[in-house]
Amino acid sequence: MGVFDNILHGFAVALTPTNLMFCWIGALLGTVVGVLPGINVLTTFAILLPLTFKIDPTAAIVMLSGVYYGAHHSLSTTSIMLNMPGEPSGVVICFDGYPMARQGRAGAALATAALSSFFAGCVGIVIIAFFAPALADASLWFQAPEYTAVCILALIGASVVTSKSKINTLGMAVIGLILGTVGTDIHTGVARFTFGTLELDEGFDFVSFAAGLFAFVEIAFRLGSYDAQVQIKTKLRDLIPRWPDIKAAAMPTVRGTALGAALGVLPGTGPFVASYSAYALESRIAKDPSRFGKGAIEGVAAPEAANNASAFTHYIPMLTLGIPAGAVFSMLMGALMMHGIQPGPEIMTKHPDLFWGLIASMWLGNLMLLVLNLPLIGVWIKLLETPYRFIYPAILLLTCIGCYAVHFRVFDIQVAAFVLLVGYVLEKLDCAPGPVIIAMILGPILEENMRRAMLISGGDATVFLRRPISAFFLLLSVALIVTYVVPTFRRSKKKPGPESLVEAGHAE
Amino acid sequence: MLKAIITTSFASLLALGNASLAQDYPSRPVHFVVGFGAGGPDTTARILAAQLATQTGKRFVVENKPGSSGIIGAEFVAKAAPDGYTLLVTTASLASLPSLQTKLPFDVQKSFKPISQIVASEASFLLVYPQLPVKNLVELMAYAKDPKNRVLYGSTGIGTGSHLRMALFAKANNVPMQHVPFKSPGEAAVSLIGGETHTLFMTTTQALPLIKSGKARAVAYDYPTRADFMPDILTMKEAGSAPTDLDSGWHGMMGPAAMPEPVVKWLETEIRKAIATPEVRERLTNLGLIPVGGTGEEFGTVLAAAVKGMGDAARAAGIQPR
Repeated sequence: MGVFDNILHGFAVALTPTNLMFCWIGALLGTVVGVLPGINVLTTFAILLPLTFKIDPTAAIVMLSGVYYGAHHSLSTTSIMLNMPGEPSGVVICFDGYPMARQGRAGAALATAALSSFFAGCVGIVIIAFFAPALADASLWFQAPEYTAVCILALIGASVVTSKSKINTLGMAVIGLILGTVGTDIHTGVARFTFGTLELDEGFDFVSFAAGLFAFVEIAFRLGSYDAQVQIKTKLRDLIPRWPDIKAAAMPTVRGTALGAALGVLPGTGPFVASYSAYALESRIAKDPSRFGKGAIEGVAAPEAANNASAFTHYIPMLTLGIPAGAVFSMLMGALMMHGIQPGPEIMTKHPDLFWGLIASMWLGNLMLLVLNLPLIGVWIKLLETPYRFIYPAILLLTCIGCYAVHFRVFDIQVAAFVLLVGYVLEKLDCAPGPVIIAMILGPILEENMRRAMLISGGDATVFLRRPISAFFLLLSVALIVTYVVPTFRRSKKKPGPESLVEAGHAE
Repeated sequence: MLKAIITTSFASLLALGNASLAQDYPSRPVHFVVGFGAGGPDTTARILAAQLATQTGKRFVVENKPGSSGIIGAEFVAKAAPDGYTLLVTTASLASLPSLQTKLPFDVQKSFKPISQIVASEASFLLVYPQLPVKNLVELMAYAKDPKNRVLYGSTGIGTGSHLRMALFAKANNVPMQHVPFKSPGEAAVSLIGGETHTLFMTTTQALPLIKSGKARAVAYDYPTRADFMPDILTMKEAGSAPTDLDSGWHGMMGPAAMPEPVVKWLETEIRKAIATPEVRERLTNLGLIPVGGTGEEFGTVLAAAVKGMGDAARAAGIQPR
């Protein structure tokens, strides 16, 4: 039986009324999970687990998978509408998605996000169906030195997410790196900068930190300006992306999908690195990089595609090796194991119904998400047209509930409030919050892998240069630094002044 | 003085209330607190809660209080009202806390009343990277003892079962090895099959797909008898080393220390009944867990042994409590 026969068989399985229903339930729940802050995929899995006892294993995994990729699909909604990222990969969507919404183009941003998610999802599914085993083997080339080099490249790329001066960006990134060190060090078990509190043992919680730095600061700023009175008017024809938008978003979507699919196979990175790398790439190769951060549609399409492509290729380690890429997949494996099915290399041959049914259901689920999300855009737009004085208390309340719901403790709301104060001061000082949170997420991954690489090499730092893939990424990092520094020198000779410093980094 | 009188009388009133409440326990939803997020003990708690609800018609709610290696959830239960409505479902890692932390907000053995050991731990396989030039345990030990070689072992984190087990093995056989901690079993497994690290203790269900596909080689089974599903793999003793005897994977239920005895007995009986049902047994066994459902007293013995065993292991691993 060829792959195409298998796929046809998969559709026969996925299209049975029961599986179709559970796919729909999963996708619907996933959309809700993606939109509501504080409720994450893992919590939802835990609640749904007893239900999966009663149903067929194929239906169970179809539903749980629907929740997982559905949440990824709708993740961008709050980033675009409220400047509130619910998951790390949503941070990147805030950079351009929210400015688009402020310009009355929320509809275009949401539709672009939905369409590029759909495209990336379809490609990701094809990759699982055809190339899973080969990719799983290739992913083993990535070890601690390679992860280190990728993180270094990504951190250096952090300067692209802001149009502020280099020194400003660097300073913000350093603050983020410092904040990222809070919590238990995995190499020694020592608690760092927790001031003896148990609450900070695992570092700052992402949801409360992002809520403070993005959503709350935004509310404070809008209330402090005349802007708060101004309603955003969205014209009906702005509900859907126009032809120039589609043209502008097409290639970034393809590139984002490719990058996301590749990074998603690596179990050690997670969707943030994928969506952020796609954003950085787009703003580096754009003809006019200064548009980024001010509502560039590429800045929504590329990271959204990368996020969703990586969400699907994340399945590969589980399906081919029986190794979960993160806690979500541990739960998925647990749900299958309870039915006596061991995920791993044998799943394709021993349970073809389940494997190909799942693949087909992913495609159907993706289609359902598109059908579900496009009409919802109209609802979201209506919400934006409501006077701000009615919306912001609701946003505040919902976000606080979200912060609380992650660990069920008030401490996280207090963190959000404190971060709001710091974030407000930073904004007033014209410092960009983007690099802070990027460095805060990347810093721990960098540190963990760099120390692991040094431990494994026995303290020999040349390991980073002796391994070809890591050497390549480090070389790329150096090249990136050169492109920053050289134009700064050249221009400052010709035309001194703060202007040139600001623009220099983007001129190539 | 007045304050003291009020407090004591209030406390005795509460105690009276408890005694009468014990008759019609549970009259409201019982909360199973899990000190971790989804997966692991949370799954066990949910399987048990679902069966208890079906079998008694009462409500059982699983509540996650994750953070600080389970300390936050355990502290919450230790300080909760001892009325049987707030209970802890925990893993054996609780028993390792006294040897990892100096300032625990509770006493693992004195602050809790053991109710039932729900499941026992599954055994672990000792895996090696297949391209490492060792075919069995004796060769692995000889290879690691050769000063020309540097053997690295992965684990799922400092003080976890996979770390302590290897530390005990290394110490007992005087084998020098370097510890490389990871954050999850998945990362440790990928590192092993990619040859970045050389050896790893891995629990049965996680290890099986790797052994079957040849991505990892099993050199020993850390259990007194061979596994009937893998009869070719020698036990640690047969392969040439003492078994580690580390009991690091059980899940059990406990409540605040002052819980009334009738409530404990009620829970003990219902849990035993729940775990004896074929559906629950099957689910737990499929997850690689061994259903137990013993008495509180038996669980107390297991807990005390685990506290001692994990303490010895932590010292063998050279962990300094903080």
